[in-house]
Amino acid sequence: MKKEASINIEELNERIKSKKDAFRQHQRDLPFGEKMQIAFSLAERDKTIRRAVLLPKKKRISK
Amino acid sequence: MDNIEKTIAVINRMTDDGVIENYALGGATAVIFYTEPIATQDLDIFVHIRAGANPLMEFQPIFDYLKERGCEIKGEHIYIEGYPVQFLPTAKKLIAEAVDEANEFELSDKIIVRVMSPEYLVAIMLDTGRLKDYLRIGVFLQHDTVNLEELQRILNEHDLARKWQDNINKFQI
Repeated sequence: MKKEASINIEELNERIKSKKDAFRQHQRDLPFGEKMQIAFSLAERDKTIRRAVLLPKKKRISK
Repeated sequence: MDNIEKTIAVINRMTDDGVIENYALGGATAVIFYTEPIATQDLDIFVHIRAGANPLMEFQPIFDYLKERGCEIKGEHIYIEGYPVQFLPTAKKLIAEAVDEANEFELSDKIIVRVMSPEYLVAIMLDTGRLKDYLRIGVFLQHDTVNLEELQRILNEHDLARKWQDNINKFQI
């Protein structure tokens, strides 16, 4: 039973890896302009995350 | 024509008009050209300025030329056809050589773009030595885009071979 489960996990990992590789290859093959659009979106996403994580939350001013 | 191609076309015209001597895409933009998209906020263009230009005002002719053509300057970027571009000098010998030896590619619409070669990019990233540079070197090596013999030649020539050996474990993913 345990052995069967570990085989399934191995298979699953292999499938995930192959999907990831295919996705990366697809991104690599995109035209330069499309790649740059994705690159700018990734930078925006990183900026938003940095702001959310690093900036102190504003104190609420009670009226 | 895609916007990025319009941006490159403007930069090519700057070379034809003698505003810059030569250029090459470098930094993350060049990495993206060879591999998959990674986060970047601008296009890094390394330029040889015209010989005899005043070093304190070396980018002024570029800004003047582009402003005359309606490009807007915001902070360290100048927007060409909607793309934020950063012009960078080729102050170091390694970078100047990377611009001279850049690969030329044809985008659609017969636009030629000059991009630093993977080997020079890796050498420059090693020289710069930030964590993100090491991660990008890892990406390059993973994609098998680097000619290791050529890289070794560049590393030897620019006294970077030792630094490569000292950090090699950081590039292996």
